[in-house]
Amino acid sequence: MESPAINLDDVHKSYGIVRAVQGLSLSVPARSVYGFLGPNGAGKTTTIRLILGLQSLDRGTVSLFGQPMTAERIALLRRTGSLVDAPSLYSNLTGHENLEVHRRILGLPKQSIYEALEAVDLLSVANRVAKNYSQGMRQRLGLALALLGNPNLLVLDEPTNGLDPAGIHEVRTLVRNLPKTRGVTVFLSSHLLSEVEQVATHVAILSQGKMQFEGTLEDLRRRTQSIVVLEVDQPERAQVLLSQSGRSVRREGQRLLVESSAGSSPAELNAMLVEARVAVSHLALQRATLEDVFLELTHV
Amino acid sequence: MLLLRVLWAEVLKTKRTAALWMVVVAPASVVLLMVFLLSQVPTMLLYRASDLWMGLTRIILVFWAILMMPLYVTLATALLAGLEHAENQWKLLLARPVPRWTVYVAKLIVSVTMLCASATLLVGGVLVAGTVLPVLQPELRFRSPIPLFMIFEKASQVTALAFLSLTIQHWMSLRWRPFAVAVGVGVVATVVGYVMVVSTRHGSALGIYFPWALPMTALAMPPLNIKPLLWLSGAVGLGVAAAGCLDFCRREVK
Repeated sequence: MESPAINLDDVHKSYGIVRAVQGLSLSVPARSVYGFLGPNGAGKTTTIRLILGLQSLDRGTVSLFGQPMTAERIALLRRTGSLVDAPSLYSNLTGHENLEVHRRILGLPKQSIYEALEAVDLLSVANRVAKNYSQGMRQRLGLALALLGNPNLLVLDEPTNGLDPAGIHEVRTLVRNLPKTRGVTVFLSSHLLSEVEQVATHVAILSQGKMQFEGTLEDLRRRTQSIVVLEVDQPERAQVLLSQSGRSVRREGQRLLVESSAGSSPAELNAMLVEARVAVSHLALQRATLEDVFLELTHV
Repeated sequence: MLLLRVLWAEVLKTKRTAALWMVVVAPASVVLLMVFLLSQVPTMLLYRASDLWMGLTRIILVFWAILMMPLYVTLATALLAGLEHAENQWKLLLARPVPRWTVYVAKLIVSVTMLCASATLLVGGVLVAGTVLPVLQPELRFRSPIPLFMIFEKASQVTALAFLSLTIQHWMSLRWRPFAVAVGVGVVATVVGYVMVVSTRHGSALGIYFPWALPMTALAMPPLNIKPLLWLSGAVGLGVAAAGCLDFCRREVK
């Protein structure tokens, strides 16, 4: 069985009295797009820095491709590209020269620069000094720097920041296709569920430095609970009737909210209430969104 | 090989930077200022030196060693480090598959090379000044042959003795993100060094104990035994570089 691209086991990291990451364990399958979600301050960026070896662990282990980061740092970083926070660019250099700096460090052929520029559609402005780049161009160049040398693992932190809608679409398409076209594993950190939902195959939700959920996007979707919303002429009586029949029901003003399950379809509920001479004026099936689940898991 | 790759990348980073311009501007400004002063007040040279070449070399090197070079080292190291601090390049640079020490050492080599290049240009400037001054000021006649060896020797000694302060500035520049920290320390240290040297009438006894004034000991009158001081600058400088490198390798990237 193939080793996970990233594996964190009981990782702890504190800054003074602030516990940024507490007992975090996660496993990123190879060639997946792994969405790493959490509200601001959840510990996402700290986790990324621990993965990249930019900070030391207080406790636990970080492994990439089945090898411990502490022992094999250089070899593992050779297979890793990253874009953390805002792109790190030398404003005095052109886009091409920025890539050239890192090409020299990585010891890559010159052709790799053109491949990276082409992947992010920056070839036409490659010779423009980076300080004259727009926010979107800077973000693309940051992505090109991450892609340089065709890494096996791409660690991206909010990669669509500052991009216009067309740019966001392009980056999403690029990220979504990377596992198929290049066999790359993408670790994508974001605080936007909608962002991750569109590209990720796997999702992890972090809150206050602790893992709240890890699984496939389908696993997360399964946690969404449908609710039947009812408006009736006798809400008190209807609530008693539904509760007595073993259904989970709560009242919000004149509306009754019944958890959807076997035997609680809108048609069945309607039939039961009408039989009991309760007039139903509104009946709707409301599906909880992933956002609802995300908010519940992160306690916002 | 790895160090060479990182060094090659560091060289490219200096493109279009103020630090690179300073390699030329710093020595050129010293030479131009001295040419202007000596053309206006030739007695500064005539009354102080029997050999005009020796006198001219000494005047230019003293001004260079006592004021311009410490400030230049301060600014150049801070500007080079600023390239990385500016957009927190560390989070990308230090996530590259190279040992951290190579980054620290490559940057130190660039700073040292820039200082050596400036010192070489300064020597060229001395020769140009000696050629131009008689034209501007006929009282100044450089009759003796050009003491090339002496000029290079003194310039080399001054540069070698600056190694210690350069390693300190290099460490501080990379250690603290705010530009003001390293520059502030460098400027204050330059002024303190100047006062120490002037207060001892170029005897430079105190300079032995102060890294920023150490280069002046090469120009002390009467001459000092420079060899132990060169060893001091080299050995302690390497010690500071090693300590700085260790600190750099252990740092947490925020």
